[in-house]
Amino acid sequence: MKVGPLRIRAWTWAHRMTALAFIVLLVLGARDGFPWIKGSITATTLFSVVPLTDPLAALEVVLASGRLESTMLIGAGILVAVALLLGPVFCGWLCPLGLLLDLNDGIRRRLVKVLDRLGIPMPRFDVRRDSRYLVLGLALGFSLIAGLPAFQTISPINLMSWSLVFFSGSALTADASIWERCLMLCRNAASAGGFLLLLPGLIVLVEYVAPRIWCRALCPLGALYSLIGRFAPFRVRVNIVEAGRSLCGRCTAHCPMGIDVMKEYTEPRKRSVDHPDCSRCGECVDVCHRKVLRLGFVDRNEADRKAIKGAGR
Amino acid sequence: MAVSRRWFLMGLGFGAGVALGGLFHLVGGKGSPSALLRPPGALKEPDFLAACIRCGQCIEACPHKTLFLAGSEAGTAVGTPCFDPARIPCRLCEGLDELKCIEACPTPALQPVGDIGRIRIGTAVIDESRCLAYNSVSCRACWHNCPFPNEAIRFDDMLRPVIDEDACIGCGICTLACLTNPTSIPVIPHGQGGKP
Repeated sequence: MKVGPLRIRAWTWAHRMTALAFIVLLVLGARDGFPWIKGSITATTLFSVVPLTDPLAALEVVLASGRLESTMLIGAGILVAVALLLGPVFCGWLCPLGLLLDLNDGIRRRLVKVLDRLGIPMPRFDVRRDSRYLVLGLALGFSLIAGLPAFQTISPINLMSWSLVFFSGSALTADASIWERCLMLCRNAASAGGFLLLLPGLIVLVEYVAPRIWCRALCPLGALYSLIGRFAPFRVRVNIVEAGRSLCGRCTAHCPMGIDVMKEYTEPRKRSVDHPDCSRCGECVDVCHRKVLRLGFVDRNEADRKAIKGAGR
Repeated sequence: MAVSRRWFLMGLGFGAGVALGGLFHLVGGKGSPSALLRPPGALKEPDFLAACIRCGQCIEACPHKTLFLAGSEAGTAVGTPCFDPARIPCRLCEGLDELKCIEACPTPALQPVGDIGRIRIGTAVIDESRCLAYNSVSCRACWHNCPFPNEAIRFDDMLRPVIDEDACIGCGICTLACLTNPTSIPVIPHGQGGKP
């Protein structure tokens, strides 16, 4: 196989760094002297004025309590608007659990390669995807009747962010070396958080045999964002001139959501990947050798057509 | 076609959720009223559990670091704010112009109280077997520290402290001020025998 020039996976690192920055800022925001970002995953306040509210959390609270509050509605409205425009970008770009599972999946891939070389097959279960919507319905129905925001109580995303933001405790302010503080952070998050990290930990382990099962098949938050961002204009666009020439399939192989990207554009008349699960992480764009794929708001119809004409002549 | 399957699954899940939620109710899954002390302005416990979005912004806003996030031992209340007056009581944002936790809350879980005296977190209860004043030692530590002396804490004719349940707001400042260890004047949350 020909090895191309060194290419930086720009989108991949951009979405990872954004998610990392988000959780780091949340952890810093819990300290004094950092007023620019407050809160955790379910509700955040930026610069003491802009409220952001997880739409699923807001929906569950409204169903469970039968009460509305303007701050919560504005916060949810902002994120719904973002999802309408950009799609379920929360999943790809902000979710701390998504980041963890993304890095975890990188380790899994390498492990599978090594085991392959040793001739040991890794069992693999690919789960049916639409079950996310079942979980979403379950969470909403349960919240309504039980009077408890159901998913917010057990969400591994919340559990993880609580552990980091509220139970990392004195680690950041302690009078100790950086290394000792890192150790303290891990210890505090694990011990004071206690059982909180059990569920995220379990998911990390399960994903070694069922890749990205949480994001693909279980997460109700992702399901809600997918429903909202169904027709978002920001999506993976296909260059129809280049499409289908090499059929290397790397886009499909790398998609964290398990979308058959190839099929999305080999089907006639499709100029973009309009799969609702696409989190706009851009990994397929990064791995594409022939620059068939692009993340953007509009098709480049005109440019492509000219290119086709040029090729025809 | 795919869309309709999604909505069908959601509906199915919703139905199952309603059924499970009903079952949860029947077995009393939400448990007895929580023993946790809530921030000022909190709705009554079952409503608070329903309305709190578990974001922790009240905890971050608290200038005295009174509030903390309930851990997994709190069961269904995990992720909600609470405080332990024996550690740090609610100082009622003394010297500030508003209660910071209520201001920070993005949900209806914490409601504006207007006047500090109308806060109802719980009720202080004196353990007469341990209280120094009830055991022939002169002590006024709780009264000295109470934000409503002579209203919430008064003295009987034996100079022993007595709580006025209608005036006590449950801030727990007396709990920390108490000289005995453990404290002789814990705060009992509402729903646990404290007044509503």
